[in-house]
Amino acid sequence: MSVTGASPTVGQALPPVGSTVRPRHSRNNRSAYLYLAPIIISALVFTIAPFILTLYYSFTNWDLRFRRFNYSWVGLDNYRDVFATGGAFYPVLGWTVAFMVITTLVNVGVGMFLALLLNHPGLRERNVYRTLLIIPWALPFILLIQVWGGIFNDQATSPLNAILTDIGLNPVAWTSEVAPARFAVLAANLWFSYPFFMTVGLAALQAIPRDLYEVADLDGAGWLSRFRDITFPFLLTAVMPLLITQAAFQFNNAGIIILLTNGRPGTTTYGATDTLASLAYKTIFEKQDPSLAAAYGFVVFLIIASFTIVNAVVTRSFEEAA
Amino acid sequence: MATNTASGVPVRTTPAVAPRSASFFESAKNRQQLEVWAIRLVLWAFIVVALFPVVYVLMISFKGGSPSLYSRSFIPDVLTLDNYSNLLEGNFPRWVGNSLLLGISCGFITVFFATLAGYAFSRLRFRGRRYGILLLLIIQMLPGTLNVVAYYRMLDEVSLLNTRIGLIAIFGFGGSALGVWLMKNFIDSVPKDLDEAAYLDGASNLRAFWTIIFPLVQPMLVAQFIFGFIGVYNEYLITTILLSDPDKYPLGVGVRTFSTQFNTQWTLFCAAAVLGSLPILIVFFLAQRLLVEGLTRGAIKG
Repeated sequence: MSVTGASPTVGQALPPVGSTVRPRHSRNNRSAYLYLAPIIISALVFTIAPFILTLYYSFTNWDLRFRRFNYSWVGLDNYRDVFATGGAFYPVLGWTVAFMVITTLVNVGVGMFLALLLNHPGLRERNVYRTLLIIPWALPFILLIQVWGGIFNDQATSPLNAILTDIGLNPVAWTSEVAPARFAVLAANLWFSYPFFMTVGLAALQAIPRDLYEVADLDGAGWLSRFRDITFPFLLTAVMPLLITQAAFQFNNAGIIILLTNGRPGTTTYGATDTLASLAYKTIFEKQDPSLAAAYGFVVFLIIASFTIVNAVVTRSFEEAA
Repeated sequence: MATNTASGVPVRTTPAVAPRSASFFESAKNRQQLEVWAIRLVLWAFIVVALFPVVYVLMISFKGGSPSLYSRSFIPDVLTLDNYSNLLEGNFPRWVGNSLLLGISCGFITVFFATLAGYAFSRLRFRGRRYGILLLLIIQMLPGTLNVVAYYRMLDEVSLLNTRIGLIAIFGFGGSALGVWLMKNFIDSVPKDLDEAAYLDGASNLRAFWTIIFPLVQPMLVAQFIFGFIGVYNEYLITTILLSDPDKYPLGVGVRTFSTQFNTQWTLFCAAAVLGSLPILIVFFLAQRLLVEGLTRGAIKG
């Protein structure tokens, strides 16, 4: 109910709402910084200072055990360790990129598919389905990811394996074999993500002007050409900006890995489901090497930041009407 | 950005199609019925799979007997509230309190900052306006895993390591760029004439903000507060590193002690998951309209 209720607003927002608003005259110049002061100060203290500090630590051998002052400058040693041949970086980078691409396409694709189904004009009870389908979004990630951890458990009596046995299949060692563990990560991630894309997709679909379809009908356009020429372009317009942010988010997504498989299966160096972000995280405490973790994190940051800047330039999504 | 929404969509025209006969129309209607039933089937199949974990956890939370490992069937033989009462006797209520404290404080801080900055970015002109938000968003793309090393050291330096105040500072002040961005887009959608009128009446920026903008963006404030709250509620990675004392854990981190691989108190965990999820679920559905609008207005800009 609520989403269909909200969609006219979304529809109104479809024209370039943000970009046409012209900034006020220059007399407001100075007071702007008053409004911005809190966020500037907190960004300096809680984001930029840690950033610089981390960058600095990535050139040292700082160690949590040394605590304060007992560390020294080691130059590029940590970065050499990161990129060392035979190390974790390249295999983990490979899976990180694969994970990012697959999970983004699957999450967005399934969300859009459900939105298309829900948008069928003959489906009068669509709000029932929509409400049920949106539930994974409404539940707290931190608790439900632990539930998924229980479901994708290796034991033969774990919920999923019990079902598999019931329908005559063999139980699966979900976190001990590479392919099942990767499947589990992708499946759990899909579960958490599809409701958002379904909602956005449905809003975008309902914002498509009816007359477009009527014109298409007059032209005798079939189902396929209606979809290809009207529905799909509209969906794409709504989703394109989200695809990039979703991909960037997933590249960085350490939480789902740490909480679901903790990188398993694999060695102490790295696991088959480890992403660069989860590897960096595990380096802090499991390997007791925060300065190496800092180097990892900084490399991840450079990848993401260049990704974002290229995206911003290409799509001009951050540009204002000058 | 503007051209590809309403006007620029190509409508393919297929010339000279024979008019539909009446009998074709009949069968098209039937075919639509068939389509709708196929869609229902797919949706129900999807719903059953998607809601399996939810139903499963609910069932297990009422299950008696051995609290440890999975049992073959997830339909409880005996319904019991033991798991819930055990939960309430332990650390659980304390974790709930911690979560509330963290979530509410961070929610307020986030909303306050995002509103002020979002207003400035939307309505005022100043040096750095154009790339300010981009800069904020990029800086925030630092993986939390990267920052956590520095957070640890910074909090250690001011003796706030392993304190809830330290955590509030990090989460409340550390992460509002997205909020600023969403708030800016929301304020952009408030007609400019409204505050122009206030300016003509001689109102200051602050007055225009307070009397015109603030009441209109209240739905967004609520949405942002809920996002802030849920964001902190769901945080695990940074929290576990900055807090070492289980008494200070928020709920999600505390409950992890029930669910870890080799020492599983599964029925207890399930009861905790149900209790910890219900309030969020209820708030989400009560505020769903606001939340969806808050996100999609920012997200769908055409």
